[in-house]
Amino acid sequence: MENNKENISCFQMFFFIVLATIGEGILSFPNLVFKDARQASWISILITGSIAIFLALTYLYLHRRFPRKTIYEICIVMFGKWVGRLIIVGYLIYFFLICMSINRIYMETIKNWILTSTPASVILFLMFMLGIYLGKENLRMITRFFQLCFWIIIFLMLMNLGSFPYLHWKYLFPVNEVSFPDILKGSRRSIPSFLGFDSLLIILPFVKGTMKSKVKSSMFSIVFIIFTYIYVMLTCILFFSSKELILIPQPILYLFKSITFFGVIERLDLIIVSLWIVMMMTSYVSYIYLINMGFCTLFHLKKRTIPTIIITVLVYFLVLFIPVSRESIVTQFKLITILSFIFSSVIPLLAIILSFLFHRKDMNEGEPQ
Amino acid sequence: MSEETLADTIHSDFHLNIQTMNNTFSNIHDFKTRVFEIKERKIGITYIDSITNKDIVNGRIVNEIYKLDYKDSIVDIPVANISVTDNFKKIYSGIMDGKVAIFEGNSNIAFLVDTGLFETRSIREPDSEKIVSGSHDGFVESLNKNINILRNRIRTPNLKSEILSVGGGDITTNVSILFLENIANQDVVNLVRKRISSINLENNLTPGKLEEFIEDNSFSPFPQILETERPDRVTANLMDGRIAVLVEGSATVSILPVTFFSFYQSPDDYNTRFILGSFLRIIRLLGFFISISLPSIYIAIVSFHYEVLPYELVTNIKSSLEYVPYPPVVEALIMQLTLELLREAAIRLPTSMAQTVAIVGGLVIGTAIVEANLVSNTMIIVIAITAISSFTVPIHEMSSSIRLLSFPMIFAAALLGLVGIVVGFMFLMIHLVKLESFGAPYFAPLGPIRFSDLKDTIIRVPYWKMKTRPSTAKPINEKQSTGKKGWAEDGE
Amino acid sequence: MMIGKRFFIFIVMLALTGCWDEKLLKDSSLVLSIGIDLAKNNEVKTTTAIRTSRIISGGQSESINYIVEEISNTIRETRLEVDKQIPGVYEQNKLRILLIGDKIASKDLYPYFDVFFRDPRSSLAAKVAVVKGEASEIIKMKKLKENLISEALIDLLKSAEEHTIVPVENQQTILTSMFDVGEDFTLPYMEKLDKDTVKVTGVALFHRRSFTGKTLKGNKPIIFLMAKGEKSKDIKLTERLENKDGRNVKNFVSFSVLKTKRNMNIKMVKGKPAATINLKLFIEINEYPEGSLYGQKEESALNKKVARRIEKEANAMVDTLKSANCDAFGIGRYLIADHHKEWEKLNWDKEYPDMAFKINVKVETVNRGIIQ
Repeated sequence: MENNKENISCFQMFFFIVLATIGEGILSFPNLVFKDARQASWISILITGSIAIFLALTYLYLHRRFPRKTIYEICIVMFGKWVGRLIIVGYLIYFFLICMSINRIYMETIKNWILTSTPASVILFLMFMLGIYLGKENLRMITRFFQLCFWIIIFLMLMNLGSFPYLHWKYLFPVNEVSFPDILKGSRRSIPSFLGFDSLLIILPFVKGTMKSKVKSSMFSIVFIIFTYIYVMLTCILFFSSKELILIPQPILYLFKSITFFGVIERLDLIIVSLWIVMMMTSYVSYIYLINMGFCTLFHLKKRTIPTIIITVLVYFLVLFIPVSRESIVTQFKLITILSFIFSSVIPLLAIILSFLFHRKDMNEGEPQ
Repeated sequence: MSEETLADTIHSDFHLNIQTMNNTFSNIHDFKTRVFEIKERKIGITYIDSITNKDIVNGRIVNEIYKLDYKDSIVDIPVANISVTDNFKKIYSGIMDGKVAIFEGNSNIAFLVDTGLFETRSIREPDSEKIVSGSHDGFVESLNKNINILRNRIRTPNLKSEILSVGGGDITTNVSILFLENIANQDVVNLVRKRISSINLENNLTPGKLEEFIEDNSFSPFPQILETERPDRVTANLMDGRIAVLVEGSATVSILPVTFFSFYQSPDDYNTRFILGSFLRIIRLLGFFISISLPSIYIAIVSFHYEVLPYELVTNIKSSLEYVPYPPVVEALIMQLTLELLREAAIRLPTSMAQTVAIVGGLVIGTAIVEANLVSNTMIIVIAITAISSFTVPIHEMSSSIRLLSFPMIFAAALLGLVGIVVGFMFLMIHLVKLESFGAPYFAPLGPIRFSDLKDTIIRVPYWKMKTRPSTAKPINEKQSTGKKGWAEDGE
Repeated sequence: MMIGKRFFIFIVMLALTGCWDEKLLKDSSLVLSIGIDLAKNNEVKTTTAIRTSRIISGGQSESINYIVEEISNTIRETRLEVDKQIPGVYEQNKLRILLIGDKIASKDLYPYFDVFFRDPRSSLAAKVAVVKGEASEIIKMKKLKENLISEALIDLLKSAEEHTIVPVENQQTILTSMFDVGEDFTLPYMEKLDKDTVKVTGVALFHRRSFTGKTLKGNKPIIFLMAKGEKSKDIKLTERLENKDGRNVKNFVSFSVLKTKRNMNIKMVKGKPAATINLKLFIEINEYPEGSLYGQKEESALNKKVARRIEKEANAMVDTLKSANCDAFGIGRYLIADHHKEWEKLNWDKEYPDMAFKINVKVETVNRGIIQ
């Protein structure tokens, strides 16, 4: 009963997954994916999306074997106390790196697009404050806020309709000229945009509902994410000529520079980049929550205020003081991709295999209700 | 029984009793004691002259006492409400409630006859919550009369009313908790009862003070308890399973638990056609966003991102701004403060003077300030629209909160432009979803989303379509209509 | 519980440090139109029209324009020079009109546009037009038909767009075309006719990123845009009837095009592309001085005559396009999408001027006004 405040419904889980995932990547992924996969970029996204669906199913399977345990607790059960703890620390570092990358992307985008002369410390400070304010809350509060933010995604997608008169349908072809390895390369580049659905590993025990509705809700959220990404990708491909799309790091914003909203508001990019902060913030907060849960498992903490402050302060200063170069961004990008491979697929799969081998599952507690 | 109460028990000595009463109520000019000796019985009555009904005291008590026979008991006095006590404490509070205490001979009990007569004003429509059509009565400053008004509307034994004596020391105030037993959730009722009983305040209790004691978050700018003087609003909320708290001596009734959107509902919505009602709802919620964000958006635009406006508008605004010496944020503050001053002055002054203030204010602000180039034309338009939007909220308290919130938003916009506004709004929204009113999420049904409650939030569907009561108060009986017009099935 | 305190600290902290990005509207000098010309030694001359206002009596103010001209190495440098001479801060984020002199347009345009594309504050919604001679000549007029020059030029181009005389383009759409190998863009072409007349005379044809020096004039821009499938609100044409010569009022017919139907076929014939555009116009007769149109026969005869006339002009227009090597119809784009293998073998710059390209026109009268 102590986790009573933590529980959310399957319906609410949809919002958590969507908002945790869509965020840092949405402005820049069309450019990144297009560099390799060209006109077939949407296929790359579809491939990454299918992998995400497959992984989500394995998480759900793992959850069925351990209905009351987060991945952290599963690790301790499956790999022993010390190895398990090591793995938890690994997870924490991985999530922490993502937090840093979210903050860095946020800072650079805001600095490039809207607040060009505001010092980075102030821009980061906003995220820092929001991170503390919402990050220390329980899952239920966080999800409530995510439900409000969800409409921003819908709003942005509707705004995208404004670009329709300027689309060149012929830019989509020829799809078959792109080689399959290139498509795969493109889908590798889209991996960081998909990170966030792996929060399923931690939040599933707190979701009330039958297994069936959990599967439905998580599948639906990932399909929604795939749909959003493909929609964005297609508008970008169709709006920009290919050489141009490679030149522009944030195509979604560039697209809105000259589109007007019924002639009443111009420069929609400014409005969109401001609203995008909300989506960055939701991703950031969801990772703070994941780290918090890890901390709580490691040190048996009840209150989350202290870990939240530690995380946000560390992120703030590390992002502020570690100098950024193009190479370091690429390295960070690669590191996250590799870590995501380890922590989002290898370890959960390993846990499933081990639980099979040793017939380990939560015997004393059945299906949670 | 504790020692203290033992000391308070009535003595079996008649004179000692009267002496005690006189000592306690010494220096009270309207405290009256009268001792009769009729047929060898000593009978003393004590009361406070100014708060008792003379007709009853004279006609029903004094008159009857004279007629008493040897064996007749005092209880036989023909009044509706008579109680027996052996405790001075009860007598004191009874007398302060306007009761007459009757001591008899050397018996150690006393009788309390309810003769209270407190002056109340007559019922009229509250000025702060006017509506166009519907009932036009309002609460008054008497607990009994208020309950009377409510019982007139809800005639069921399920309407429970508990009286709690709340306070500290010897200062207590009667507080009544009203709820419908077959709808309201008992957990919420218990929670309310617990919180109200825990109040320890040696000061007079008003609904405002009571709310500060029992609300979840006192540091929030948003009221978490709905205050109203309208019986129809209270009735509607009771029917939704909410709880009404009435305080003696106040015409304001507190309703809880409520959501943010309760403050945007008005009886008018239900008394007009539902399309119009929905439209009014949307207008009011639009008013919420306008009054919080319009000045800040304007400031963000003219001092950060004027490129979002079409060039015709930019050149217009620019020519009106050109000769204003201050940055827009100062303009906005000047105007907002002037407006608040005017508003405050107009409330305090008698109606005839308030008009003068309005004319002076209108002239000064409207023309002189622009001609003096202190504030631009556009800023006046912006502030005027903001003020008007904030007045659309049906509940006055919320309207003031919203106006207050526009100040931090103005600062945020002046510092960081659109980013500031978005961050400010995020703080606001996070705060709203974190708020809870007696266990009910304050920003439901938007965060968390509750589809079944949306029917009466942003729009209002026809009433026969509202099958269930809103889930805010977790009512135990959710069904309120069949979802159909009853006659439609008859195949008329 | 600590929200209030935190928010207060947050505000104070920010307020103490100041507003970094503030760009007050009242302090900025709005640049609404810029003309770019080639100066001596490959330097750039920009002519900038800046909007401001002055007080006339009684708190009323009146909008005025002033013009600044500067010569320097790059566009950005001229902007810095201009900023030194004007009151207020130079802000070109509301730029509406960008005029390009034909000399500078003949060079690679991208270097002159880069500054606009790179600046996060520029809106990229400015309309671009090529000017015969010097662009500065037009900006320097300050007023055009009693209107301030920037507004006048915007209205001029807008009405030209509405009448389907010029393509709807702005900086952003041009950027897309500049990087697109499969399609060339066209821009409105303006001429200053005399001391106070400026006219949109046609469409300037570009190849890749530079002006070819060739333009479409008269009815050709309209036919070009119709064939391209870009029809705006209103198309009005006056055509000479084919079989009659001489300047007689009876030799002409005026009509407006209500609807167009158009499809483009591109075939590969022996590795060479061949394009046909079938264009069908549904017209309303506005003026037919010849008079009667009451019979089916007369009407279809007229339809045929008009169609033949337009077809002739259309194919002349195609020849101009080909001679300018301006692939404005985006045939290259079609080839890339549908015949990618063949496309890779083609040398499109050489192939295009010689390709088979034909436009077929059909006309149908649907409305003849209120008399027969």
